[in-house]
Amino acid sequence: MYVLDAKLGRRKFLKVAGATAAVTAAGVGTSACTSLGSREHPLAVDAAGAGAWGREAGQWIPSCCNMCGGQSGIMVHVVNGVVEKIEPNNWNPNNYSNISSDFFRGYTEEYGCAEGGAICPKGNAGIVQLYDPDRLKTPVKRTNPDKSVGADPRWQAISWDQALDEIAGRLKALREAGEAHKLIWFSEDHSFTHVQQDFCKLYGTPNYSNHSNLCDVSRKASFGTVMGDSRPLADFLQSRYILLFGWNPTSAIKWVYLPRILTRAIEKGARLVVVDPYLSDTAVKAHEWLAVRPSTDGALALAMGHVIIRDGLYDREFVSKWTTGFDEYAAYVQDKTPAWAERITSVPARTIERVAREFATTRPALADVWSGPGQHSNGVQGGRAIAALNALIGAYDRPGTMMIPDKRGNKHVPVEPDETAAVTLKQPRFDELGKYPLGHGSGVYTQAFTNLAEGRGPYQPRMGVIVFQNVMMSVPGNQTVARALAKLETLVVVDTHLSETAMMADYVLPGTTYLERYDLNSHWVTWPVLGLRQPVVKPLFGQPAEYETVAALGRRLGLKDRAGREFFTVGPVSGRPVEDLTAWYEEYLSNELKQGAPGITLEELKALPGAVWVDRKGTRYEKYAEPLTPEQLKDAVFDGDPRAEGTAVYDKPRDKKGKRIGTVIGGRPVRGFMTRSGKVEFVSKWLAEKTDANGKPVNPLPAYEPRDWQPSPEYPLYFINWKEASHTHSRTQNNAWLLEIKPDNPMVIHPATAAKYGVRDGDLVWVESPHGRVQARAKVTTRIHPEVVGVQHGFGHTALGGLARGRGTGDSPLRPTKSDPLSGQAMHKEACVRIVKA
Amino acid sequence: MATGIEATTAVIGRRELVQRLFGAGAAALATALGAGASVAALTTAPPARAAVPEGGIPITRRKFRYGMVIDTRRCVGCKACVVACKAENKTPPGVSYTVVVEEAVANRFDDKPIFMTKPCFHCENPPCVDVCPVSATFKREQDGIVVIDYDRCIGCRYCIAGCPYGARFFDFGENYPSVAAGTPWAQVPSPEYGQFRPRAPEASPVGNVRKCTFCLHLQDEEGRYDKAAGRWPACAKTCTGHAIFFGDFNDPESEVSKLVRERQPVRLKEELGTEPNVHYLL
Amino acid sequence: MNAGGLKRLFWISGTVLFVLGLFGWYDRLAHGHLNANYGSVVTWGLWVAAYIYFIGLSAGSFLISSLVYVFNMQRFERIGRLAVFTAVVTLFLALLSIWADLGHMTRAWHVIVYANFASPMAWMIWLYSAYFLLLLAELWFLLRRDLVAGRAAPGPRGAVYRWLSLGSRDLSEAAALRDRRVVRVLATIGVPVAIMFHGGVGALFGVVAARPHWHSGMFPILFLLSALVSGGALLTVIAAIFQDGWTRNRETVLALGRLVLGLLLLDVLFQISEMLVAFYGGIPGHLEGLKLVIGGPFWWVFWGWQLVLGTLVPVLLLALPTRKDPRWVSLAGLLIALGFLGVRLNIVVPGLAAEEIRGLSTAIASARMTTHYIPSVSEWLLTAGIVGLGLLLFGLGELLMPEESAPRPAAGDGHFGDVARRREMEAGHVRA
Ligand SMILES: Nc1nc2c(c(=O)[nH]1)N[C@H]1C(S)=C(S)[C@@H](COP(=O)(O)OP(=O)(O)OC[C@H]3O[C@@H](n4cnc5c(=O)[nH]c(N)nc54)[C@H](O)[C@@H]3O)O[C@H]1N2
Ligand SMILES: Nc1nc2c(c(=O)[nH]1)N[C@H]1C(S)=C(S)[C@@H](COP(=O)(O)OP(=O)(O)OC[C@H]3O[C@@H](n4cnc5c(=O)[nH]c(N)nc54)[C@H](O)[C@@H]3O)O[C@H]1N2
Ligand code: SF4
Ligand code: SF4
Ligand code: SF4
Ligand code: SF4
Ligand code: SF4
Ligand SMILES: [Mo]
Repeated sequence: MYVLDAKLGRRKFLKVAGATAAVTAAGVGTSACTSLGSREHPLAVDAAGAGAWGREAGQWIPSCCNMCGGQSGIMVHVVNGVVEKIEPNNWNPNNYSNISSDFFRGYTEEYGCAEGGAICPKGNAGIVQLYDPDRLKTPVKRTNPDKSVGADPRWQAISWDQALDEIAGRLKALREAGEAHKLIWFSEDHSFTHVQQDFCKLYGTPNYSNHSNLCDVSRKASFGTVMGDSRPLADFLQSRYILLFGWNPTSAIKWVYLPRILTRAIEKGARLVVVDPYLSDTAVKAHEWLAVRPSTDGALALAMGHVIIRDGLYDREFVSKWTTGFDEYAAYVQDKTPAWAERITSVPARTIERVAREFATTRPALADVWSGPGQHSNGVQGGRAIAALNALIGAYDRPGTMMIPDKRGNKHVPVEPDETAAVTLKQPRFDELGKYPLGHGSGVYTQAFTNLAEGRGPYQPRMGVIVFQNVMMSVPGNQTVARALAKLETLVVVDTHLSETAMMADYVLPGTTYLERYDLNSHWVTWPVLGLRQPVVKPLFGQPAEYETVAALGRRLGLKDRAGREFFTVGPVSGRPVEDLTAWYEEYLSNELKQGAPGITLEELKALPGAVWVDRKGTRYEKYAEPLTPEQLKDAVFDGDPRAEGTAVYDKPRDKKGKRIGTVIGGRPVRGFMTRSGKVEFVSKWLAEKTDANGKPVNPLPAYEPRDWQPSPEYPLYFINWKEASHTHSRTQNNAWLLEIKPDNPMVIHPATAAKYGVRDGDLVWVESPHGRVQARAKVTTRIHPEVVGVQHGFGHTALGGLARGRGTGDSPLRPTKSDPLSGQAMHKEACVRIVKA
Repeated sequence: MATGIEATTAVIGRRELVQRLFGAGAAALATALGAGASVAALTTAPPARAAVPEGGIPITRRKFRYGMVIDTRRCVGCKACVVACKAENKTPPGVSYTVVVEEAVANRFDDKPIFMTKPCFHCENPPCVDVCPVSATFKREQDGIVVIDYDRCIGCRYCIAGCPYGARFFDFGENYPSVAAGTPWAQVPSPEYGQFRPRAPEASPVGNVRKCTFCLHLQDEEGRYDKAAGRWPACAKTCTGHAIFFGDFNDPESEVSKLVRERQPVRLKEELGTEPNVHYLL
Repeated sequence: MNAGGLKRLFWISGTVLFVLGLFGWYDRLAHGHLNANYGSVVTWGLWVAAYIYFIGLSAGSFLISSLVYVFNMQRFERIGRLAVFTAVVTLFLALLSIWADLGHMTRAWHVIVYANFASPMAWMIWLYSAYFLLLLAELWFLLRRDLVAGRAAPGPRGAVYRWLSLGSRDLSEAAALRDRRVVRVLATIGVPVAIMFHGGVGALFGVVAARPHWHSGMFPILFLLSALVSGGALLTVIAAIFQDGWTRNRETVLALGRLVLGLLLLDVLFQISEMLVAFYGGIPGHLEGLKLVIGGPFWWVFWGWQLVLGTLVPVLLLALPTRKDPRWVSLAGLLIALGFLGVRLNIVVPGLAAEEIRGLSTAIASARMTTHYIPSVSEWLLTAGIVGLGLLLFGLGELLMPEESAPRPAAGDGHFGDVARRREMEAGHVRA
């Protein structure tokens, strides 16, 4: 009862206590409450209620979140078939750290990671997403032929059987007409993608695309060309100097461990410098904010390279052994002085000088880049210039630098199409992906939609399927997207809500939320980790999960693989027909697990703590220096002299689909970097032979060129956008809990600029570009560069739900439907506007 | 020139914070002293307490003295705590036991906010309790948590006027669509105080004032929390920055006691003499 | 317009307001506080303002009645009973207003059984419960003799009197004197009680350290003064309308006018000094509230309603020659009385409209968290209804307040003596 104070001896303590007791006794009597009057009395408790709804009631089911693509591990409390609460899954590294030593420190089977995991606001608000009354409950069919934007589709509710029959009927007709390739398919890329890819392949269309080209393929191209991995991960925690270009990890929480490892790094003494036109919520945590002009990051990075080389601050040992093209690069940055960069970026030369020196002389340091620079027309080259900075100081795959993730997880077991499919699969992709020298398997949405709208491209698609995407909100220039979608004879959208995209469809099928379905998530940490998503409640409206919808269509079409197997009927493990769609998919996943790194079944995965498989070996560093193992070398083939520097090593002959496994470096076969040369490439020679999507030759150097669209007298302001922790893209703006923490997205404008256009805080303004105009409410603050205005992405809905409609500003209409010409990255942040008071 | 700005967050000190609070129009010392005096005169007796461990905070006569230390440097302003609290306590619209205030530090050129998560402070001398005409709200003997008896509270809202920290909210009976529309979620009761009240029009806590309870419904019979078992304040459990430390100030070895001893946290409106049990690291 | 016309207006407006009020009450009872516009920041609104307003009127008119029954000021004795009656009615209205404001009206009784005497509000409640009983008692003794006399009256009127006289039959002189003694005693007890609880209402706000705008030693005194002003003002109106007071109470009305003017000026003086203190002190919290009052979105409440209509115009009316005409004087009274509702609003709302923690009102998006407050329609309706009820009660009082009285009482009793003189006046024999 009494806590004895360490310093005062017991007697002294009692005196004090006695004294105070006396004083208090006066008014308080027995109560320790300091109020004279308000007395404590027992509060009723409801034991029955606790039994029925308390933490011990029902079950806690481990799963993975999908409110965004982060896939955080979650523990879901389900009572009486209702999701009562969602909490972090402490066994899943994805909720805690991307470095295994940090995750395992203090890890216990019972509790998981030492401090416990975390989930973001959206993860907590998943309940409201599940129980949103505005969710689409039954399939609906369009009865109004007029597909213009805003036209009432005059939905007619239909049964699942009718919906699937009619859709399958149209797919069949198309296929039998030998036009399977005229089906274009778009999907999100974290959920049930494999089964959709299989469907497209077996159906016979080369036009399966997914999401990444809306997202970060420019970054993939930048790092991919320079250091051979398309998604290196920053090891913030062990770093001492963190330089972020247009990357907002504590607010655009791509993975929920990011806020922890970044703030912890700062706590441990790391310096954080954020390059961003907007004082993002990440920049708020930074020691230094460099308010740069949009799309000029490349120039900034080159000038830093200039300083680092000029002052001889680069890592000679790493550069000489592990990189190529240094000399050309050094020559190129010769004249890229800080003064030169100041004119372009508006960042003072002395600041560039200082930051460059700090960056090069603090070890470990890292430079990372994401959507900011990436979603402009010059994003890839800018990203390469930033990737080159890491090369200069050897900041790859070492503690505290840009790590190459070991991303072994479930295996997508390839399917072989039958003859019918094989024919149409030979057709070129409709989105002309081939035009993009650094294009990505996810395709090029903007090209597909402009081709469709303008009637260009190799042929005219007749059917479209869009799963789990809101292209009318997330693709630039949605006027064009609308025209494109209207051109399709049949558009099927699978969505949880009647999104803006769904409003363009002929059929909308109700999707499931992540709490109602399966998925396997190999997580974005630096060592192999795979988390399970599993249905914690039955789909609320009895609807099939998306993969079941796909399989059901596959069955109706009787799609077979080359071996003549009814692919969507035969269980891939048992080899026997499986009637129940869910059971079939469970086998499908089991197969991917068995053949993948975990080598376990779905049931075994469910049984693991937190239903997450974690490779015990953990994070490995400097993997590029690992010599190839004898068994790797056993039947390896050398693409040239096995002694000569740079000779490529393949696991089997290239004509037998040999895969590159390493390179001869320093006289011995090592893993190396997965670039053409096997080393980090300041210059990518092979790019010199390429031309970009506009037919312009590609500069093999990470050269700076101004982006296509520059401010002009009529459109003097840069317009950008960003994400914040409160919402995911365009999908959470009907979530009442999230709207309470962020109800809209005012347009941020600098006081000086606001004064110039006579705009006061809270004023309604028109934001106008040559492509369109949108209304916005001004928020005047010095948090943004004076030449720039911007908004949080995702608002401005005209559909989706009653709460979302008419809130805030959607900026898609301000831009053309275009991608960067190298990687096909949609240019979400490239726009110039003028402000007119509304 | 206004472009090419360099913003630098030095770790800001006590003084700057105090300035900020004044700038923020928080009660200024002058009145506050008067305030403290007259309120004390009218309503409060000195808190029951024993001794102050070196650099630490007073140990009370109570079994526990629960409180928080919130590290604003770790806080990224994501507001997961706000939503987690909502999910835990099933609070209605407009009732948010914790909020994140982002007030800009006075006269900075770049409006850089400091994210500050603000639950109820469970003050040692809670003015909210003193003003309640029916003793519906009181500070618990065993752990110092300031609670509200929903069955006794008449809904006069004097305690809202009395709280200097805006930690109290009146339940007007509004509902989120997922509840109003009678989805399965609508049947889920609020576990507050272990009372598991289903949401019903006009039935308490509708018409009552509500506030942060330190999630006391997660305590065991002895009044202990258990982090490993997930019996821990929901906001602290979900915090993406791991910025919310919770524990017992009566236990000199607790994480929170150590933090108070070893770093120099500040409390809001110290001048009022309310002695919040929530401390901030800046 | 003559008294009769006024009376009609009185009845009509009373009925209209009362009927309007029924909608407000329906909404309050059917939907709780859903359609009220206050929130968790500005958590008290029109109803609380109405409450302290009516409380003020009650205390004020009671204290003025005490001029007659305690301090024996002949000048006002003609309205003594009216004043007490007014005090009863307005107190009743006050209780109605605060009752409607409770989150749980059915739990009002908690304040008696669970009273926490550390809370000014608890004290308040106990004090004015006591005060209420005291008022009723005093009023009864004031009327007893006439009630007894009225028992004989034919029809319902007589019935009501028989019921009200609670079985008392004694018409003797002795009884009358005893009545007056009792009244004097009750009144004498009443004065400190009234002062206490109304000063206390001031304290109720004053002790709230969390709200600098209220947190001032001045509050209790200010409350008292304003009570007297508003009470006096209301009485001038009532005295003018009531029972042909138009002509009969001429002198009293004019006298009241003078009294009210004095009090009003004093009140203004205090108000000003209060503001000066705040401004010179330059204490942010204090200023924030005041700034809101004089420059906030509802500046007009202060400048237009409170200052011009509620103070300047009346002061002029009471100072200029118009002060000799009961009609103008009572108009002035009316304006002051109404003006004080603005005063009350400007005490309650700005005190709450300043965020305790900067950024609080924008931390979550909710109409209940804003610092802006405009009473909702149903708040206005319900309040109107309460006012209407008040008017009707006065009307009834006017009907039932005994006209006739027992035989001419002994000299020196100014009060009952009037009856005869009034008859003469009505007969036009005497020029007032
Ligand atoms: N809460 C939340 N988190 C998310 C998501 C979400 O929707 N919501 N989406 C997830 C996904 S899919 C992704 S791809 C990631 C993206 O994460 P981020 O890459 O961080 O995405 P953004 O916030 O769009 O852009 C980052 C920053 O770039 C800045 N910026 C804009 N133009 C430029 C420029 O030219 N140069 C520089 N240096 N900066 C610029 C913006 O101001 C912004 O602060 O976030 C993921 N995490
Ligand atoms: N202006 C601008 N545009 C951008 C960005 C930007 O920063 N600025 N960011 C870009 C980036 S990085 C990305 S990744 C893309 C993302 O863009 P999208 O991939 O289109 O993602 P959302 O916009 O969230 O749209 C998701 C849709 O799926 C629906 N949905 C949600 N959950 C489910 C589910 O479980 N099942 C099914 N079937 N449907 C579901 C939602 O209702 C919504 O209609 O946006 C890009 N667009
Ligand atoms: S970051 Fe948030 S929304 Fe995204 S997966 Fe993790 S918890 Fe869910
Ligand atoms: S913060 Fe406010 S509500 Fe909480 S205890 Fe202190 S005064 Fe009471
Ligand atoms: S609202 Fe309830 S808790 Fe608050 S003071 Fe009134 S009765 Fe007490
Ligand atoms: S402690 Fe519990 S009740 Fe208090 S704010 Fe945190 S979650 Fe909400
Ligand atoms: S959850 Fe943690 S980091 Fe996010 S706002 Fe709350 S306290 Fe800050
Ligand atoms: Mo993305």
